[in-house]
Amino acid sequence: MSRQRTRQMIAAAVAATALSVSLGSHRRAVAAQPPATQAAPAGDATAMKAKVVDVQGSVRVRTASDQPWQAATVGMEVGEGAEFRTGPRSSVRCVIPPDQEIIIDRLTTMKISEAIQQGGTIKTDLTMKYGRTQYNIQAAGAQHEATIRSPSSTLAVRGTRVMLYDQPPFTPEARSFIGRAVFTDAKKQIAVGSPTRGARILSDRNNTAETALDETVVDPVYAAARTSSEAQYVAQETSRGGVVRFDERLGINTVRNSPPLTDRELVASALPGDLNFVLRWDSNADLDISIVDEVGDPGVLLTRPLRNPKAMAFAPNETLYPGLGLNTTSSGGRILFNHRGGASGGQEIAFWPSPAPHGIYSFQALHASGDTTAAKFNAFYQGRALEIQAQKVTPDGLEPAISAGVIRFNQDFKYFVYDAKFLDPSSGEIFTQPDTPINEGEFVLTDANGNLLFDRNGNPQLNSVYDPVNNPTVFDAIENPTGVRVAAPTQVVRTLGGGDTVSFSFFIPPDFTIPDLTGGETGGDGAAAGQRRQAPPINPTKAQRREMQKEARAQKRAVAAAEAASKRNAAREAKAQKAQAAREAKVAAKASR
Amino acid sequence: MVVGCQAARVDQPVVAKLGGVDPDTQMDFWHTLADQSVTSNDDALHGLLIYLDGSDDSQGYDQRVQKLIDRGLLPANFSSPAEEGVTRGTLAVALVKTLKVRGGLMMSLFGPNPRYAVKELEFLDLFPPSSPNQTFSGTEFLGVIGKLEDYQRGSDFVADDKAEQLDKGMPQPTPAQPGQPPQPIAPQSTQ
Repeated sequence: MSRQRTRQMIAAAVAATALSVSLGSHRRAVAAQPPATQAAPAGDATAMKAKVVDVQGSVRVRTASDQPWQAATVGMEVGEGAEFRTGPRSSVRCVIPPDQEIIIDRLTTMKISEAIQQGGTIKTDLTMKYGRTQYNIQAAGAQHEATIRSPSSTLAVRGTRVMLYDQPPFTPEARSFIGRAVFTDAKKQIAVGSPTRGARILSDRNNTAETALDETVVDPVYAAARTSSEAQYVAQETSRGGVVRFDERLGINTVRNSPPLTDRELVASALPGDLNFVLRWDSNADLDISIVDEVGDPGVLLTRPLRNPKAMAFAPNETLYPGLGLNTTSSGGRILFNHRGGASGGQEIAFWPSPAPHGIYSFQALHASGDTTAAKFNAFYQGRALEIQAQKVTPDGLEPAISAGVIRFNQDFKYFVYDAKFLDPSSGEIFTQPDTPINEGEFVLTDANGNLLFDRNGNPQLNSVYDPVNNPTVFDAIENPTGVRVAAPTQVVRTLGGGDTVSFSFFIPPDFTIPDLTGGETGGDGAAAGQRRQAPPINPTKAQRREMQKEARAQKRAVAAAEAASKRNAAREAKAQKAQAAREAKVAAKASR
Repeated sequence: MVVGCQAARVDQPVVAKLGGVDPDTQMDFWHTLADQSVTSNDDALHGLLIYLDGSDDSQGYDQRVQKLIDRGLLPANFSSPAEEGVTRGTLAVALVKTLKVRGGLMMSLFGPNPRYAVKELEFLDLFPPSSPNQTFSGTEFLGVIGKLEDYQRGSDFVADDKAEQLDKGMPQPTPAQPGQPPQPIAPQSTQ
């Protein structure tokens, strides 16, 4: 017999007697630590029972090899020699009091070869023919000698939570979630995990480090094609403790355990796009951001003629979602990763690089799993926060001060505003009117720049400029009698749980700029600030409507005239500056001679 | 003298004796199949139907084949005999269609043929390194079905999640629906 053959036989013998090896090393390990309990003198072994506490799907058990199979039921107790088998989409959980737990996963056959207590030591030996088995020890207490064996490997348990997977044709795998385990196969014996962190090993790798290295993947979304701000955005997740992995099923990077940015950090941070929608949450949950949008001029989109008059004016044609191939859109929208949460929550950002397309955007959040959590919604355009707002007007002279909520449309362009807050200027009181329908004539929708999209009759109004100084409009008279422009909220918080969804709408029209939202008094049509105007009727007559339309047309003409005058002034000024510069150049040339 | 290769065969597929629809028989089928050295076409198709539909009430091999052809999981000209070992390529095509795997460039251009379907499943770690003409042993077929389940549920630690939930006395979380993005919520009236 050759020396090599001899060595192979010895190695096989070592593997075949892995139990004795693991026991020996366990004794050494135990000797290195103070015993948890006072070891009693070895006496007769006491058989221990395993109790079934959970059954999912199809699970069979037999108490001995020569006994018939029967369906496993919750509450059933089995002892040493019992064998379990599970079907597809099935699992069973058993506990061996006081502190052991065995979880047998789908398509597995597992036998409890030994389950005894001998003195102060509990010995558990599980033999798995194929499949996946997890073994947990709840807490330190009695001494344990526990082993999971499969045809090609052995996992000796030193820690508190381990898993062994051995199923041809795939590589056997061992994981230690908490604590340490000793993995033994025909060629090697390796410690997996440590008291403070888990680890994983595949049987065809020499150690856990090689296994981890093999799992490292290059970002398949062409990381080199990222802009510097995108790269920074991804890098900051890992710098804040996030673990980034690539999810092959979702087709996107997933991040866990990095906390969301605080409000201050969000303002100061380099957001990756020109238009950014930010979703943050603060509990252990998995929320998913989603944007559905339609690119175009919102004023045109919402007023286009529809074949079906009852159809919705907003017809989104793009969906942005963190995964499943939906994390990019043809208009340039992107989501770089799917944040799966963590103890401190998480955040996801959907963005469009510069220039962000005009359009209507519906910013949605979906609670996918986990705890109920508070979710914060923010949106930024060209570095400034977008108002999440709707404005409500009533004939009672109330002014919109702070408003927030979801804008929803029906086919008649009537609106609902949820959770809107109003300021009574006489008392200074702020109060809430949730879920209030707005009747025709009561509501006017504007973008953050004050551009009217509809007048108070629900008629679409394009390119109407809100200029309270030079061109006060009827809207101005209704919406803001004092001429005070009040800041609207740029952040909304909602509680999400149990599969909830919530959405907010945004309009990005052409030439969209964000005004200074710090407030500031502007006079209406020359009236002093603080003077209240008379509100128009809620349901105007035909004559009143004609009058208002006449005024609106006049305002439009005045606006156009003002724009033209402004252009002329600008041209004149540019010409004057050019002439001035030429004169100065002449003088300078003369002086230099 | 003609020398050639012959496909692996079984004397009798497991489904011939354990083809019933009751849970006990199905369980016996899976774990008896695990002891077979070759998985026949009949056993593989029966197993696939049980996995996809929960049971297989087909009256014979021909019916199974026709069912899967009707679902687009087998080619229309599939004619391998029941006792012959299932090829990895055949199974791979059925699985990529089941999972709606888009695949890479070649599979996008040429569709899910056996070669590229096998490659794609290797990439997804649902198949070991394989040739489309290889077959599976019984336990290997179980392993592939198990991996398929892991892939579809998005985690190979469901046992872990469930244990945590049971520990906390909490109901299990609503499982995420793989392959299903949230429905777009267009602005709509709630009046």
